[in-house]
Amino acid sequence: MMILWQTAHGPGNTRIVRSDKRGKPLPEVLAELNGFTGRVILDLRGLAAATLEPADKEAQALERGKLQACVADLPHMTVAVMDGTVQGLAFDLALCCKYRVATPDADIFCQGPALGCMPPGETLWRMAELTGLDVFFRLLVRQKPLSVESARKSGLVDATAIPGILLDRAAELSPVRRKPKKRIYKTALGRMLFKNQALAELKARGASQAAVLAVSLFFDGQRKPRHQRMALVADAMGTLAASVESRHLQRLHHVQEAHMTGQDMDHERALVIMGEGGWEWAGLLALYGLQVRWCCGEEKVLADGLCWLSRQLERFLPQRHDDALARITLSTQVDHGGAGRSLVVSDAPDALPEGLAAQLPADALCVQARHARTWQDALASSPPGLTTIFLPHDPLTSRVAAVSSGDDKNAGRAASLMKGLGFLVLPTLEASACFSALAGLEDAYNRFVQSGQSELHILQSMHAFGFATQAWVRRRRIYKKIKAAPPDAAYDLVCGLWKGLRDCDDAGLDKSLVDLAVILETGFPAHRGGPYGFLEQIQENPMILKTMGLGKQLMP
Amino acid sequence: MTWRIAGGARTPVGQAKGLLGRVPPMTLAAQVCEETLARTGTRPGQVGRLVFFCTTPDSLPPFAARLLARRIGLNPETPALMLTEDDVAPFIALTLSGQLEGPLMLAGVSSASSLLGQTSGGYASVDRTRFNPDTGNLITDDAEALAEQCGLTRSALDQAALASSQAAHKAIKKGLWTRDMMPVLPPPDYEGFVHQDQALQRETTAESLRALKPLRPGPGGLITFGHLALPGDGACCVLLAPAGSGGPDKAGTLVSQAGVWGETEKTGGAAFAVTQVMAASGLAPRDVSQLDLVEKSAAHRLALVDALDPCWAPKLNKAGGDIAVGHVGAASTLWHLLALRHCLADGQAALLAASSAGLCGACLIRQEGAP
Repeated sequence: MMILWQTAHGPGNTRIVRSDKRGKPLPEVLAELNGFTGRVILDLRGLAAATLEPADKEAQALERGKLQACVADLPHMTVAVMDGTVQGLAFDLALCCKYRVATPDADIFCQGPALGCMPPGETLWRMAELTGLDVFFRLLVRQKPLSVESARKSGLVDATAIPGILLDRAAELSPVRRKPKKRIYKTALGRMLFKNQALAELKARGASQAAVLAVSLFFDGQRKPRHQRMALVADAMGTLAASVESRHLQRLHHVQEAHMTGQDMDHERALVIMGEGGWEWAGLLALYGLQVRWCCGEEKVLADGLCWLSRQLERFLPQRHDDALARITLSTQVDHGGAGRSLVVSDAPDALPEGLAAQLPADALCVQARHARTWQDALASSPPGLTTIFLPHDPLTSRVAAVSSGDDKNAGRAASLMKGLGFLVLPTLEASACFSALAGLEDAYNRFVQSGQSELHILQSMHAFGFATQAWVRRRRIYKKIKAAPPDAAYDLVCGLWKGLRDCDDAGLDKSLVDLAVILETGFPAHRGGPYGFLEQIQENPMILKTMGLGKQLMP
Repeated sequence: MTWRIAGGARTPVGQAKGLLGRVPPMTLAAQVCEETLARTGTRPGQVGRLVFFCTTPDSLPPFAARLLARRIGLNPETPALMLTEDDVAPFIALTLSGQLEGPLMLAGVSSASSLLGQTSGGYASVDRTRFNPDTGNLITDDAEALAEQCGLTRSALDQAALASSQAAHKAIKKGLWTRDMMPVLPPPDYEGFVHQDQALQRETTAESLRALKPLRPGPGGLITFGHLALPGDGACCVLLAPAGSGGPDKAGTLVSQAGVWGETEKTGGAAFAVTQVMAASGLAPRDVSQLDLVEKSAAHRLALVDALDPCWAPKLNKAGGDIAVGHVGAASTLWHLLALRHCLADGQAALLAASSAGLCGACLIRQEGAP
């Protein structure tokens, strides 16, 4: 999609260049600035959402490279202003400006490699020049967003301002002389050392081909002129466009966009009436900012639960520990406390006690929470009107849910709640397939553990085999340094997963959705495309089967 | 303005640096407020005003009342104020709260633990909350001065402390003090709930009190630790609904005639507040079945009896005294209010009085209808 631009007079002796449907292509707009001696402010705030995505086609990458060159070659003092999520074209153009001003809550991403694309033009080299290798690795290798505070420290952002005065700040920004960064990686020895380090880290992370290609290209193109770099990037983009991995990543990205965004949670106060496992729901809701009252008749369950929650938060989210725990109040009384609570989560099979139900507001959403293993039975036995949420694991580690209700309105509200909490809500057919596959995986996992296999060994095996990311291993709470382990356990586990998928009727099944669900739930690496995607990949290339020793198990 | 006690909750009283000291004071306050809303079946949006009392404001973040209001989910339009005048603060809140459409939420918290060992402006931080702004005396010196002024003897002080302690144990046995208690689960290990007052002195006897050494060395020293209500940790919240002119709103435990006055030597501490409230209500001492004083020390207790008509002596602190349990500032006043709700029979009236921060205050409590 061609993006059109327009210039306007800004504060003082400045011109603002921003996207506008009625405008002209960027090179033409910039050409009009010939003779203008003031400052050019590139306003990147208004870029349409579609243009925020990375360039995923060879021609588009070339086009973006040209736009970057236009901005970088301007003789004026150029200042980019950024707000919200800065990625894709906005990120590429911001790097070409001489200075950058952002709002304090902006987030900066280099999203390309996560979607199987190459950062276009000279983005790779500009990024490293500005930020140094540390931040470069963070953005590219570790695929983590950069906060404005970190960006300012690293030199990627020169000043911050609240949205109302962002343009004024850009107009009055004094040119600053940046301290030159160490460029050890520009020497032959430095290039070799850092390249090996980055590639080793990517391998340990089980990173996608795009990330590996981007890092290799960055080091290999260090001493090449601009036109050769652009050609290298275009070639790499062509290679990636034909790769299965990129296709998987982009397909999953689109499924994720379609099913997991656009929902807001409007609940402020929640009541959790649960025994064992109530702490997980209380913790989840408190982490999302709700005031939670957790009721359970047994004091020991409450005390143990809060202790568990505190330990989990200390370990995984220490910065949110105090805040989340402060939102939870406990009670051993389950018959009051409903006044002003717009959400009730319960594990009881029956309706709520009458006294409590009378206290709740008329529009309160009451849901039952159940484990997905009871999915088929519960679907058959659920009384009409009762809304049930099924999760494959506990709510703190699950990312997938299914909702069942005889009442469409309630089901919609429950689905909206779960999406607001960051879950992928599956339709019935996909949920059956997904839960059956996950149950197969869990059964195989339990068999290994019962046979005396160390849990760490199983996880290392999964990771070494490329079926689990480090993040997933961490979530299983036994994170240690990932070592290579024989993939024996992984074969059986993954076969359990596929067996579960094959057992379900796939007529009309949205396989992308199941793949995404399994990726979110198990840590299956996204670039392998989930179990269906991976099966498709290895069937295209029997050599993979041979090297992985999976031929007998998977091929008919 | 007449208010009806809709309900409330309190935490146990914790010893300074004890189990409750591990819970941040704001969390304690939020927990009692949440519990009060739950027990009274009140939606946060219904609350008309929140008045937050804290004798140890150094232990709280800035704008604590507003933060508390947001944390418990009150409407952003609901005013939330903070008072730091120790025991009399609830009377100030009642005096200043005019006609409100919604209930008035009074919440108090005190955290001696967070201040113990800290100094500020030459004082130990915890002592700053326990001194008389008129005389500059700490509580012990104040009690010594009162003892000297009223001619109290060591044995009289010991007896008063013992009577207070026995009344407290009796009240706990009857459930007057424990009925509104909510258990607290202290971090970091969350090993178990705290159900009972941690600071409660269980084995106070005449002998044990006699054996204590005076806190001020020298020939004139009378006051011992056994005579003082020691500062502790705890929180209490009471929800007061505006009582209508009649009908169902008028039934229940009603609070009225609240007032606050400056305390001078002439006014005789809380005694002045008691006489003022009695005069305003038009009641005679025989119409009032109980007089509850938020005790700071045995000397304060005896000084009140000394300043009032002797007929008040048997009515004093029948619902329990603070010396055996500890003192948590305005939260102590609030839990006395809750305890009185449980011990008054239909048609009975009681007075609640306190003196602190150079002020004295009192209010009348009546039980209308079956308790």
